[in-house]
Amino acid sequence: MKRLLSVVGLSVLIALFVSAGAFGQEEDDSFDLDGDGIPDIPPEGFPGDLDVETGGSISAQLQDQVERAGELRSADTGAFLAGRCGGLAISYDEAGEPVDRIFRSRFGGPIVDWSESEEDGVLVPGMTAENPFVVDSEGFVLYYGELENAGGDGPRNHEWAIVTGGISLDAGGDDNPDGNNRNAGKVDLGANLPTPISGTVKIAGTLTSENGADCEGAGFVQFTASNPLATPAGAAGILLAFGGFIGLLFNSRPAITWRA
Amino acid sequence: MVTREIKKRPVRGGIWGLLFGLGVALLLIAFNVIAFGTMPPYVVAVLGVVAGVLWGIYGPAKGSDEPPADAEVT
Repeated sequence: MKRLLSVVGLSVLIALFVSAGAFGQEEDDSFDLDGDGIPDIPPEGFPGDLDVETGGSISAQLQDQVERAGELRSADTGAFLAGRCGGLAISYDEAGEPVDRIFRSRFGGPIVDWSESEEDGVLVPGMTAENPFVVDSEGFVLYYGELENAGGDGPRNHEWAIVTGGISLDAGGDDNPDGNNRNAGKVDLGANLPTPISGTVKIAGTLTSENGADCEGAGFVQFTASNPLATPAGAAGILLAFGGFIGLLFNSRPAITWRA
Repeated sequence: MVTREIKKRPVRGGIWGLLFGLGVALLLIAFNVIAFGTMPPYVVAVLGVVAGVLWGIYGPAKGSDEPPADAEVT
């Protein structure tokens, strides 16, 4: 179930690596710690303490701000989320400093880059090719996702899948007999990835259920590492590029021959 | 009597070009220049193949321009 709703919400696109959850912590109804009208999550000094109640409250506050802002900077998004699914995700570096934040209302609308929208007062599309969701692969991500059908139930007896470039990354499903419709948690990439990764990936996900609580989406996630050359893609790239260059130079040039 | 010929190597060039193109594509992905799951990585790999084939055909030929010392050139 935890993985289910991470798939459903925006955070699903990141939670494919690991799933984890944090439930049942104290509720706070104000997260605007610096008085700028923008909720600050997680509460400063407590990274990792995002739970469903906190996430739900922050999501509601963000929804109000999105509705008030009303203006969306147009862009070639390449990102979307369709269905009664939404949520928020915040990425942090290994020191616990926020890196990027995205939000999408479960009532619809675009995925919004919460960080940039804060700065200039105009909603900026997030998870796009030009403005991907930046994730420090040595840090962690907090997420909150929600999905419900018209009756308020979460997806029952559902199946979900995540793909990139036509390649299946992960898939699963759950009966969800309790009809849970939201989830929150932390994806600790630094602790769970065997090595940092680097690169921008376009990921698509779908979820279908027997009670009509469906969702599908796609977007760009940019993984960063302190040394891209030390990542699997970087190291393999060096080896292949160097080997290919040597092969081109010494093994594939036309050759002069003399035939008797 | 010997004849000078140039042996072209488009297949070898294509194979090495593919490896080179894949390497460049991976580096571009690692440095967040292009995105995995989109067309550009495939385009870079194909460009590597094309460049390799052209290199194998039109690249500077290696080998001696001088015929064997005891040969009569036609």
